[in-house]
Amino acid sequence: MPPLLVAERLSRSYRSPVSLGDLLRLRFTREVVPALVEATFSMEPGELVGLVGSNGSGKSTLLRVAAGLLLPTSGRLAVAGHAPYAADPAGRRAVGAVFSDSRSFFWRLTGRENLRFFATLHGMAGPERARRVDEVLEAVGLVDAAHRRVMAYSTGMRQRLAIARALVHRPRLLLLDEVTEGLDREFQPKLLALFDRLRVDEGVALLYATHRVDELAGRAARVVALAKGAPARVLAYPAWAAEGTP
Amino acid sequence: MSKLLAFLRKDLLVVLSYRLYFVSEIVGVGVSLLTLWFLSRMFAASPPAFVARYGSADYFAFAVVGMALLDFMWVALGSFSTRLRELQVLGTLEAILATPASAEGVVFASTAYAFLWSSLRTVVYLGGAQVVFADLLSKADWPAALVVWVLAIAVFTALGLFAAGITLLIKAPTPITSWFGGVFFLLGGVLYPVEVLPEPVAAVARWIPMTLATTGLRRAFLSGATLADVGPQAVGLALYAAGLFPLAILFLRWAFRRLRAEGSIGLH
Repeated sequence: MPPLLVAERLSRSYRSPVSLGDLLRLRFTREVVPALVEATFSMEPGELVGLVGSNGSGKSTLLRVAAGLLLPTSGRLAVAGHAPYAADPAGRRAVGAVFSDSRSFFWRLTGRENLRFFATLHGMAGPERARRVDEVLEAVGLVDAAHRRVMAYSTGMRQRLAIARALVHRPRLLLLDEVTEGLDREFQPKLLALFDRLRVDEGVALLYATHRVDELAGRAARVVALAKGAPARVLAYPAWAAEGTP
Repeated sequence: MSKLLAFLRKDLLVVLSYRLYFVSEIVGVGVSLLTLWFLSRMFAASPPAFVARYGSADYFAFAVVGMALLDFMWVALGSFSTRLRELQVLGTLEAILATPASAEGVVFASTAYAFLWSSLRTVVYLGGAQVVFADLLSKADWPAALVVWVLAIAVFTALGLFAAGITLLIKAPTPITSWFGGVFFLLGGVLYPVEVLPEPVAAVARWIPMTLATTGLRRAFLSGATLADVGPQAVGLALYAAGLFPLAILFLRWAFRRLRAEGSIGLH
């Protein structure tokens, strides 16, 4: 069986904007800032790969390329054989993503209406969509709040809703960026148990960016370790944990 | 189609959450109609000569057609960039573009409600004017009017798509819609014919899309001109649409690709 995700020498850099001061000094060249350097790794169905590194090391950049929101500068990434950033939507169909941004809902709609909207954009309809929306609301513990407008949700509830949105179309790959951030202590272990069930029972692969070592222990066999301006390293979890790096 | 309906449903739910919205919109159309009606009473005793040239005996009928089209023009010019800007600021654009939905499809679907609502306002404009104030549409040639209307909307939509692309790139509201809208309102024969403009200006104004549209629509609605009669206006609008629409779609695609290349979809 081919790998679910393949990244080959995936790099992404940004160009700094030209400031007014630069223009006045007739300096038009823009500084190139490497955000992700030569990441090469693959993921199998049902696997959890940790994505680790200090702030600004390129974790979110890698997740955004995998979600189809960012083009790589060089190299390639494919999910289920398709580049998620291509016009062809096949790659994005296989991906669900949770980014650390709780603004991304229609605040005057209820949680259930938001999920229904995004499920429709994923091509779901009718009773199947309604059933699936109920399932993911149940999974993240938002059934009782489903009829309330998102504007009345707490930060943690919006994060739960973001997780539900990432799950609603049954993705084969979940991209998770600091997913337990803002969640209460009671729900965190339930969420990790949910992810374990998805991996084991449904074969969903998880690319899991975190600063919390305890969330990876016993779950991640490998980590992709990123550092500013340096090539990405793929390490077995014990080797990485032994390094004691963040 | 299901995605279009999803956007329509979402926008309807948002609008319904602002309870006075519908009432204020309908009241707004009513106020516009009344204003035109009182304005037209100034000319009731001796209607301007230009009114008769468009097949009407009354300035009110002349102005109502212009105002109905103006309403649609503002929606077509402005709603694409406005809706995209809303999605940018809400942060939902990134979440939507992470789905399999096509970016251009999202742009069109996000304005479906605005177009539907504007269509309803147009019906209220023309229907209200017909029923309450004047025998406006008894001679109307509907196929001719529909062709001119659709072609005019296609031209305005193309310009609106350019504005949407610019909004995506600069991540701020663009004044381009106000510029086009202002020029079309000033020179497009909305409330007065281009003949009253100074001749050098009128010579240019005759060929702008708004003038072609107001002229064609008035002739079709008020004097029953057939499609053959409004041929020059329809052909002019079709040429504008054929030239602008493909360019606008390409520009919008390029703008989305540039956002992905810059990594700035989530910025606003």
